[in-house]
Amino acid sequence: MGKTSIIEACNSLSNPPTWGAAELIAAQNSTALSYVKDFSHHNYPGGTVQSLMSHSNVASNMATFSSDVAAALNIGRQYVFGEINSGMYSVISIFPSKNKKESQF
Amino acid sequence: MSPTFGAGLWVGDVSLRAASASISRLYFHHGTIGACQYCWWGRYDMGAPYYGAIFATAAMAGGARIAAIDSGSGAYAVYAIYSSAGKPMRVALYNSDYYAGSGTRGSQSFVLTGLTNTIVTAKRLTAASALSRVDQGSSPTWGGQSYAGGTCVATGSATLETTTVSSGKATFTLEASEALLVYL
Repeated sequence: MGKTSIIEACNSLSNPPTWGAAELIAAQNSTALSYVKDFSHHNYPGGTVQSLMSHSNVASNMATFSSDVAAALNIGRQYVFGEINSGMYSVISIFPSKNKKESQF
Repeated sequence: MSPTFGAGLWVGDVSLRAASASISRLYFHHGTIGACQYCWWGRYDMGAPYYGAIFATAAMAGGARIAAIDSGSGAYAVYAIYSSAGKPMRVALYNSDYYAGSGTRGSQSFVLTGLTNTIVTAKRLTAASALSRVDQGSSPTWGGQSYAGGTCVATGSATLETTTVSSGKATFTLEASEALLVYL
């Protein structure tokens, strides 16, 4: 193939520090890491409208990623959220919506 | 929760906080249009989350650096966006107090100091409440404008607020569940 820096590496099923860039970096040798362009995680905070939009919750949610971001930057890789949104798509039917116009979404 | 203005405010805040935390990009997950409550638009309507996205975009556009000024422990957020020359370009303010649409809507004053302008302009992101939904007939506005369903075309008159700077100081009032972008 002859190309390095092509993979966005992500293990997203648990939040850092259980799973994340730091764990991947520790587990891979330099040959494997040379193919990694950046590290990614997923972030779906969920909850209620009130808890979601709370700034202190946003800040503490982001703080759970800070050491993982630092681990990626420390080896010269960017960190991204490869998926982020308010709630889980798979449980979207639980969201309060009895409105007959819901189909518009 | 997902199609509400509160979720839009979250999109704006989390985007700015993530950028401040050296996260390079955010890919907001979308699903099947027409069956996706957290999408930024549907088949017929814009979604309230879009308004938070445009707020964060307007805040960071053309900037080189962003800093979260607040500690993150409270309900009020302040972000400063700097040019590549290190000059402050804009300040994004957010009052995350929850307003569900009934009772008195509280407010919070934000005071910026050390300003060199004589007046500053600002653009407000607001809605009737944190629970406002476009598909239920209550659209947020960004600088007085909303975006038409199906076309995303900005409608309504664009409104810029002006605030006088006195001795380098300016005060901005944000109601609960509102955000404001100040242009320095």
